[in-house]
Amino acid sequence: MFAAIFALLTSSLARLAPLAEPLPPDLLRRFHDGDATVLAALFKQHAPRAVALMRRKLPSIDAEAAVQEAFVNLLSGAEQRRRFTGGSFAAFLCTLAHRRGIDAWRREQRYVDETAAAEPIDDESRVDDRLAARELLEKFWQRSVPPAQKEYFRARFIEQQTQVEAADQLQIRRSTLATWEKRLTERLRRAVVSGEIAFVAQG
Amino acid sequence: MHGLARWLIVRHFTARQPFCGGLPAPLFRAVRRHIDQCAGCREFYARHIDWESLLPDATDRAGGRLLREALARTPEQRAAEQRGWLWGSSLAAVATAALVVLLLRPAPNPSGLQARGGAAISQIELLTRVAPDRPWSVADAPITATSELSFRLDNAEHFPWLLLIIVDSGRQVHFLYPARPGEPPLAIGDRALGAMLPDAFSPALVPGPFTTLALFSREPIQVDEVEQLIKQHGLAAALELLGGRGRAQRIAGLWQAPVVADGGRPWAVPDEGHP
Repeated sequence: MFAAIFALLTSSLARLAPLAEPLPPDLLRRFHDGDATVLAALFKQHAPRAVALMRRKLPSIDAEAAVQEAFVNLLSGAEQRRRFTGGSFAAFLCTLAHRRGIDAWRREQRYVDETAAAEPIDDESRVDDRLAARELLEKFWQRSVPPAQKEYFRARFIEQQTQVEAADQLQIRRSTLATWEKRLTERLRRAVVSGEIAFVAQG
Repeated sequence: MHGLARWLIVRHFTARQPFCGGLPAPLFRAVRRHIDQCAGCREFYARHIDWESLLPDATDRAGGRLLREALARTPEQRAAEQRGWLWGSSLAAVATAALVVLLLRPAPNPSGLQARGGAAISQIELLTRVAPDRPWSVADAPITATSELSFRLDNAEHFPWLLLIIVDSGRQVHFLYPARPGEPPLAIGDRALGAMLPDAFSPALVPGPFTTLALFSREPIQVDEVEQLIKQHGLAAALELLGGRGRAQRIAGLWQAPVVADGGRPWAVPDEGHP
């Protein structure tokens, strides 16, 4: 168990580390000026993390909608942009999306866990997210991955290696791996959509 | 209705190209309106979000999709929506478009370059050969250090300029087009589909994974500017920033065996586990 967590922390989570780094001053200035290129690049990089944080409060579709609405407001709202002075852009997006998302959810008269809604959003949930994903992928690996492709699936999907790294490690041509990956991706999609494997509902 | 909505949801999530793939904004909004009313399709959509989070490049993939969707929510797009894009007309548009695509589907491309995400986009393909008298082949396996590199081009979007650099596993940047700062990128004009670029390269790369960065643009972007962006923000962030000025493409490869430095002007690239 600890080995799995350690492997997780040193592989896929390590790639998330730069998300919390402060924005360089010149990018921050362009962000405050409303430079659409910078806004779009920042959103593309940080939105998935912001959505993952918001999923602690709302179902995934509504979490995505709340974060996207926050971005649309940022595009036209100079005042809101100036409120961001650095730090984690994902957390900033969440702060903007939080109240708006919860309010919209209430307006639609759906159930809101008020205790959960009031909890501060932090970045600690990343380990939980990745562990849940890893558990699901392990299950799929055992049940549905063809024997010849098991090693590749583990390297690419579970250990999050690049295709180049996996090709080098397994000594298999990348064109072959690309074909495998396409088929495995579709097979995984069917398994998730059919409910054969599923995330355990939170809360 | 549910069948069509679900077919569109699958297309939306399986598109790989961040800006050209996925559903057009009006269709996406039509699907969103439908899933707000239909619990079954809402669940179907949510499961695709779960599936996406399990993929190797989940963050990159989800980021592109979320941005595309967010842009579809802007007031400008909504104004267009109010001009009468209703579900029925979207349905008719999709049926017509599907028919047109089926009828007008082009013959297979002999160059081997495939339009990604179902759209005709400008792209390059990395080629390699082990000796000058040997044929070029697509670089889909580790490349030995004595090999030559070249590129095949499909300029489907008619960009006039192409900038090409390689970042090796030592975080060193090698300029291909232009070869030196101060010079313009390569003027590619309307080169035919599958055209080879004029030069073969024997770069002195540090062994290990390397990345080729291609930037198609309408204006000649200075390589010094690209250099500064990569120095300051790393390759991934620079790529994001440059992507807004044209079409950026990155190709990963693996360079084998040690090489001798060629006295070029490489410099260190900050952060990121791999180039």
